[in-house]
Amino acid sequence: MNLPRAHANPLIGLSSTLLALAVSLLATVVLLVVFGSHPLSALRSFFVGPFSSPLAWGNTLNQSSLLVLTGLAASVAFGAGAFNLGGEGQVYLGGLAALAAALFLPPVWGALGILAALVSGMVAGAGLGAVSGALKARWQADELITTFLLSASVVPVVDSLITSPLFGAAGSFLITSRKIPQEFWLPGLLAPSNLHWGALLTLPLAVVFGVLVNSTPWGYRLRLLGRNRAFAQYTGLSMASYSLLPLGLSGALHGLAGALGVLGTQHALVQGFSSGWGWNGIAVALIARTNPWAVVPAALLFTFLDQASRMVVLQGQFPFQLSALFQAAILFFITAQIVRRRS
Amino acid sequence: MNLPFDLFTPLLLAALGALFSERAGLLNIALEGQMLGGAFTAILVQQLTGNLALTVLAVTSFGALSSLVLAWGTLKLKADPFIAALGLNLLVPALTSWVSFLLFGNLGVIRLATNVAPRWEGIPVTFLLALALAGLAHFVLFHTSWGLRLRSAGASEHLMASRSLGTRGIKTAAVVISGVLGAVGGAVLALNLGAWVQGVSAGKGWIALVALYLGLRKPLPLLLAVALLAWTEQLSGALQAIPELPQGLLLGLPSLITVVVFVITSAAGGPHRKSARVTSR
Repeated sequence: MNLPRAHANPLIGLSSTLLALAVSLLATVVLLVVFGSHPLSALRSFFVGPFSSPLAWGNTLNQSSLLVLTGLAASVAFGAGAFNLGGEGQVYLGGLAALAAALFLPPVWGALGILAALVSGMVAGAGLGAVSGALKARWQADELITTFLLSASVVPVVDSLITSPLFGAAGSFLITSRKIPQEFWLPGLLAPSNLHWGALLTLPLAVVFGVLVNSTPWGYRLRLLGRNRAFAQYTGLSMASYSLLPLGLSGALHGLAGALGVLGTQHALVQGFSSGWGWNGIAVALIARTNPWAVVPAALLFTFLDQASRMVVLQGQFPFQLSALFQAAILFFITAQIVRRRS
Repeated sequence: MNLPFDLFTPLLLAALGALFSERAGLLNIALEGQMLGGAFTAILVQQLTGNLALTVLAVTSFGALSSLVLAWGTLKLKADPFIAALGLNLLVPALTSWVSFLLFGNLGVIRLATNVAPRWEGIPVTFLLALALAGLAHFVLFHTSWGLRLRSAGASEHLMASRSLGTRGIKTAAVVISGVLGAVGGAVLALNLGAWVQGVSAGKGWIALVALYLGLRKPLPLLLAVALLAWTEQLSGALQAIPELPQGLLLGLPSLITVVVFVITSAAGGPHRKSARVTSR
């Protein structure tokens, strides 16, 4: 798989990525101008909307913090040559585990309960990812297919569990679980936006992963695995543990994103609340060329563009799928070698 | 238990599509999107023109065009086949809801007034055609020189290069065949249903890929694999009628069974070659 990764000449890699982004952005803007009922105001809300108020600012930052997590999750797996396509299910299951902890732990636990809920989200996501890793280690089942299918089978199960008597709320019109006790809400920032303190947690995490992957022997082994599996095996790396590790780690980060969504933003588990987080994380990881350091700017950029599309949709100028068009264009072009390498 | 034709035929068509692309060494991951697009095109054109021949033409063109885009991205621009196809899978649902919004002012269901799926002696004609296509695929792939070249392009690009045989043309052809079969599969699905519903393909494009590996990448075992998968899906549908059973578990059942079978074939030293990844290097 020729994933975009650091090129010998970083400028060529960067220009290729920027070009892919520019092509996708251009396509979106052309669509806006041609099909929007008021092209000028559509363009205005596209470019200015995400910064127009503390509300918009806060929501953009909150969403990008979640994308930093799923982007890190995807890049850790991709960088180690493991294809985790089960992000959607891992995020959702992580949300469910955090919900269960928050609903059933005594509220007097306070911050300790928050921590427990976040950890259970991570454990659940890691578990789901590790299953695919184990299937690969034990029976050579391609993780690209098992992660996707396991995630696809988990989502409807979570969907039906949240309305079951165990988690469900009586008399709610939304398909959602009960609210978690207020003691376990992550404190908000920049009200009335959804930004919360938990979102700040993601920045140090990105730094930790940047150092781990790029500057430790352990990270070197992971990257070696991604570059050349046969060679990595030849150097004596345990293939079993190195099948489990990247997928488990990736799952844990996905699970944490789901847990933050429940404790910080929704304060309950709303059906489909995390839909798209996993796929967008993959897009972010590809924009970042699987480098953890680049995930934060990539996530910020991606969220800006996503929110910008939503702003236009909110104006009623466009049916709601504009951001999907944009994301599709990014995925299509991001690995293309539009800029020819000079030999 | 009867063979569930409505599930079997679309899945078989898509799986045959997957077979051609996989054998040529460029596994078509975009089948899911192409099935969805084929379903939408079929209902759209049938609704607007009422002409089945035009519908078939439109669906075929959609399949071929979307595949040409994919071939252009992966073979010419050297994009990763997997990621570019994911982009296509994201694009199609967005495009369908957009076109449906532009033409009908809503994002929901389009229902056909008349059922156009023809039957012969009570058996859907599409089912018979799909069976014939499986036979034809076997003949073309294993008993013609073109089929040999196609399989060689997938098995050993170096060999082809050493004989100064290019593979881009044949890979493009294989992906186009694959896209047309996927789109027609989606069309059959929607026409049997007599309606367009958002997300009507519901993962069948992915299940077709599993059927491909389960069917040992050969047309005739593929028939058995598709039958098995169609039955599990029917079973899950039938069990949903029993309210005592947990519904979420049942909805997840087809994917879960697919995983289990996939793991079993992998453990048995199945033919999973991860072609898309090997050949893209």
